Amino acid sequence: MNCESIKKLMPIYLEGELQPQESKEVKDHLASCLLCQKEISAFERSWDMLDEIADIEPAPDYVSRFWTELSLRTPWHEAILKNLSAGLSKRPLVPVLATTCIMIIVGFLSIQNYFNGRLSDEGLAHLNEGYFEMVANMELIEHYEIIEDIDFLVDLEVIENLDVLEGEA
Amino acid sequence: MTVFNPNDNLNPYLSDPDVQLMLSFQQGDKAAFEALLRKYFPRLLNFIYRFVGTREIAEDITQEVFIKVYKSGSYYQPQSKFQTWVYTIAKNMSLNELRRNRKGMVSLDAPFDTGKNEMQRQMADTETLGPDQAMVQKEKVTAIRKAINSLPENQRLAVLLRRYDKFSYEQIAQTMGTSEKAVKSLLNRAKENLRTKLVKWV
Ligand SMILES: [Zn+2]
Repeated sequence: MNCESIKKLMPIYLEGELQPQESKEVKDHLASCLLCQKEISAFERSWDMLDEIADIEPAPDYVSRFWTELSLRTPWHEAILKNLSAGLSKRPLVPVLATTCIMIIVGFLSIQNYFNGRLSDEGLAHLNEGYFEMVANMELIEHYEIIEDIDFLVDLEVIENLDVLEGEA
Repeated sequence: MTVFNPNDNLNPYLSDPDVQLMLSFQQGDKAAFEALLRKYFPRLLNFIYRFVGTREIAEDITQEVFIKVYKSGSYYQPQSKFQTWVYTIAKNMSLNELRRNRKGMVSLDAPFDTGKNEMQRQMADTETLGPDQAMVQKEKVTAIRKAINSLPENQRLAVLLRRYDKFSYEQIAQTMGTSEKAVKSLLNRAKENLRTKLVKWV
């Protein structure tokens, strides 16, 4: 083999990944070729040199920073659900959670309607529709994991716009 | 949700202590998660920093990696060593960052943005040298960083995992989603490139 083909094999040779036959050829060539000896030591040194970059250290408070960031990222409803379910079996809690949510939402709607002075029979009929829709949605809660993806505020917004929907009907 | 898998006792990754920590975390043990955080955060920070080139961005990405690990707790199933899994997340997030924000990529002429602490530390490191030598050493470190940074993404990843994180070819292949053969060829080309780029310093 000539110097050029030896040079191509050098990185693999240095990793000890050449077939025994090829490895022997490189070794024999190196024993008698000064140029290739220089070349292979250049390969070795440029690889070893990478050690000269110092490591960086994380901020001293990186652990507490992480926990803070995590708590900021956890939406309020998820945090409440997680706290409620901690230490308890999840399933028995589902009806309780569903009822609580319904009561909060219905209460919210009633108060809103009261202040809007629109507590007419018609409004109540729509409210009931909304209520039953919510009950249907609550089935989702049984798939507890899915709750992470439900944005309650978005759902509430839809209900807040019930008046607009009434107008369109 | 835990899916019962009759092959679980054949899963080779269950012998990885870090996989065990992750499974403890899955059962609600937050201390197990924190142990993983303490063990891997500094290493991943350095890996990501060497890959994206900016300390501030590296710190953000490292935090995101662990937020993802935390949120994966409920559905995590060991399909590799923990280390391979968490490095794969780090690699993907770093690549996303580089794609999203090309500005984040350090210009090849700029020294790495190391932040104040490391500047001080590197100065302390070179204090034992004379002023000329210190200057030369600083130039050399900059040249090494530039050389790494100028490698194509795939070669750079392979080099970082091999050189600094001491991964086996198999682990690099798993992390990069490629074959061992491809990894070897990437490393060969990377070494040739480094040798050429660092010619002045060898
Ligand atoms: Zn030769």
